[in-house]
Amino acid sequence: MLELRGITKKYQVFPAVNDVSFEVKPSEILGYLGPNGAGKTTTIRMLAGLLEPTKGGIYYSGKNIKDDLYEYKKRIGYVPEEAEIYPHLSAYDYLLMAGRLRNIPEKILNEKIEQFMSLFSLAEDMHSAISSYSKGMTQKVLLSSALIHNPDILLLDEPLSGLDVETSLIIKGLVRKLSQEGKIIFYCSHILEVVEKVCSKVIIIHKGKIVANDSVENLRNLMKLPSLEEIFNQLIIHEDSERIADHVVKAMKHDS
Amino acid sequence: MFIYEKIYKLPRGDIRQILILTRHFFQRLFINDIVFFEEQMKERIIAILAILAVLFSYISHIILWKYEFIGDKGTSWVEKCYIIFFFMTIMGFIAALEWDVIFPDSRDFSNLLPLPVKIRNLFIAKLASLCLFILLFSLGINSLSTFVFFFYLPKWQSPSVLFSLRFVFAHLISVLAAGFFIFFGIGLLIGILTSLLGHKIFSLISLFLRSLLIIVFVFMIVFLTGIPPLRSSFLLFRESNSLFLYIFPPMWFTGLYETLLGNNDPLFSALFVFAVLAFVVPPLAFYLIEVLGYRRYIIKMQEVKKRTAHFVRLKKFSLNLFNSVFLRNHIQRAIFHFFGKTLARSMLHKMRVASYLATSIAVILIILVLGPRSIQELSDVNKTLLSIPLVLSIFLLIGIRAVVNIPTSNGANWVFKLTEATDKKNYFSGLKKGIFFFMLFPLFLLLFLFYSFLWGWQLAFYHCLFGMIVSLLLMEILFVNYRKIPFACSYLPGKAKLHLYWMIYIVSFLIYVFLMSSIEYKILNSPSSLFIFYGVVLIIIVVLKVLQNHFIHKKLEILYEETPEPAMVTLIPDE
Repeated sequence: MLELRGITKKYQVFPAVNDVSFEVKPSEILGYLGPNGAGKTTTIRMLAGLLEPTKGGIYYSGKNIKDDLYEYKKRIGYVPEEAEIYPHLSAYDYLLMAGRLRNIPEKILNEKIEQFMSLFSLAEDMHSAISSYSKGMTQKVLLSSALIHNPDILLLDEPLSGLDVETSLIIKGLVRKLSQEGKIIFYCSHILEVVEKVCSKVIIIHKGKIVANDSVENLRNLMKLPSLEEIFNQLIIHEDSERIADHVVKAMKHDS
Repeated sequence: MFIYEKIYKLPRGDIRQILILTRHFFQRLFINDIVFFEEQMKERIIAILAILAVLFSYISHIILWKYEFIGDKGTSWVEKCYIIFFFMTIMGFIAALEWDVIFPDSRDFSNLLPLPVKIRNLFIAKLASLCLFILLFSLGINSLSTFVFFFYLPKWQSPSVLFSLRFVFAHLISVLAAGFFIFFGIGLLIGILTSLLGHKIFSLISLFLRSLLIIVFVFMIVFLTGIPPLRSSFLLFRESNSLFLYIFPPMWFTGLYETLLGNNDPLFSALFVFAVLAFVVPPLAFYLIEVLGYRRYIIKMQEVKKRTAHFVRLKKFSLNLFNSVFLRNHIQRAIFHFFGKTLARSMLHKMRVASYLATSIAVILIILVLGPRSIQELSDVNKTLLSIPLVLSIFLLIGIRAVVNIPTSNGANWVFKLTEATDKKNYFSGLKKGIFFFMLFPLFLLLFLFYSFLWGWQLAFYHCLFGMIVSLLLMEILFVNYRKIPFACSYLPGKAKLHLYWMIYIVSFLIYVFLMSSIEYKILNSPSSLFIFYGVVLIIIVVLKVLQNHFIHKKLEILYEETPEPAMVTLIPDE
């Protein structure tokens, strides 16, 4: 089980994440929702061990990850929100490097890379530089890199970004399949429909604080609203979106 | 007239667009593969111009002060030619540094084409930014030297103040024309070669060509600084009306200089015509080639570069063999190949290393010119020839030490953070093995072939082994406190503090090169002492490695983010 206990992360004095606590059990897919700047990426970066919390702790199987961060990192697969990847390398080179850093035996690594590339329809382009890839292709490389070492915990930050419909469907199916295999999946996204369909539990975060934490079903019943989008609107969006749209149009037409 | 009329007829919107683009392109001239002045751009430009201006005024003083005693009897054109030649060399060197941004590149096109920017405006702005750049450097570099010329020369021709002002004008116009010629000449070379060879082939040879130009210009700059104008030779050429005077470009601008001063000598009148053509034709031709090459460039830009692997089995077999022999640790393997791939594919890093190597070759040429006096001496075993591998290796290693600090992609280093191992020594071993196999080993292999040709393989082997072992020692010293993953950690420039420690760097260079070559010269005669030397150096390397592995790397944290030094240093120690 992955557990966050009273996590706070401050950038100088501003708390990006403020006293957040939750847990994700094996076979659970936790959807993590929130508007821009809510603290989603900060949370996921702390979960990946890339950022240290200012206060509180992250526990995996009852142990604080700080006690053996290296061992913990071996167990996670991470897909970042931005396609932060070395553009001069080819997909093959990148995965080879990531696999080597994770100490996957060379022969198995090569076979795995070929399988992943072929399954993600990248076999033909795997020796071209990533700089020449589309956003979707880069995302496939990042997904492959997150999965290649068969992690126990998957941290996905907008994993469907830039992917075509077919690959999106594959990834959604894959996420469900992995949860059935007992993996812990932390799924960060803006696409409410996907979270509604894929995730077993949802957390909504706003201005660094959790405003909802339950299953989609329970949230719907509790708030008496038909969809996650409506729940999200109710909890987060206090401004009239129609009014803002009007203002944007007015600003566009402003000539002088 | 044609361009003037075209610009004159442009609507105000276009002029504004051109001005904005000119500013943009001008700033980009200071952010490229070699020159990176993103921060403190103005201050750095002023500092460089000030140094060059002082250098030029000093040289002008050195070559002109004799006229205080002998007076100018119409022979000062030799000194004018010399200073123009020197200026052209400096401008040529600057053009070689600006190589990759002389033409608009893919980043310019991909950012500007989606905007409603007229292609014509884009090209005019590019041309204008280059003209502005040349104008700035021409006037800046010659600002002080013009006064030195003004002080020593015009009084021998006319006491009139107006003539003195005309003299200043002639001086500045001549150097400006020379600057235009050399800068746009190099621009034209790039344009013509790209058109003739195609973008793909040109990008393959571009690195070598640029390095070659840097070598030539650095060599010439140092050479010209040390050698005064060959006055008697030029006067002889003049007497015999030698063809050399007509084909030597600095003479064209000397002709322009003299003609603007009212000298009616037929030689200078003829050279004046060449100078005017050399002033006007290259920028126009540059503009044309820029426009003509654009369409093809755009087509190339839209093509996705597909790279297919060749000889897959053979490559895999040889790589596996290499990995299992030399890179037994998985971290070492990852870092080694990341280092190699980055240097092979990142133009910025490749170009930086190439510029260090080019400078080392220029230094070697200078040592060779100043060293042996005859061809026989040139092939004998002597300290000058023995120092070549040391000069190459010190520049190469310092270059790599600087280049590995520059990240390829900010933010992509999470993959290293996420997979970081407890024992850090393998990261640094992988890097050092990379430096050895990708850099030092090929370099010394080439040197071995060269020295085998000169001295026979046995002596060449001993010599290259000596150089390689000394280079390995230097590498260990340079990387003793290195705490980063190559090309993957943030970097704050200026930590070498060149402006403070330049003397220490020069002394270290001299000690390394000349002391080591002297030691080698002495011990080459007795192979037994050579082996003692190898033994001593190897022991030092082993001791350094043990120190690193057991005392430094085990406690070390990898430095992913570099923090700036405090703006104010206090005497109170940190708690």
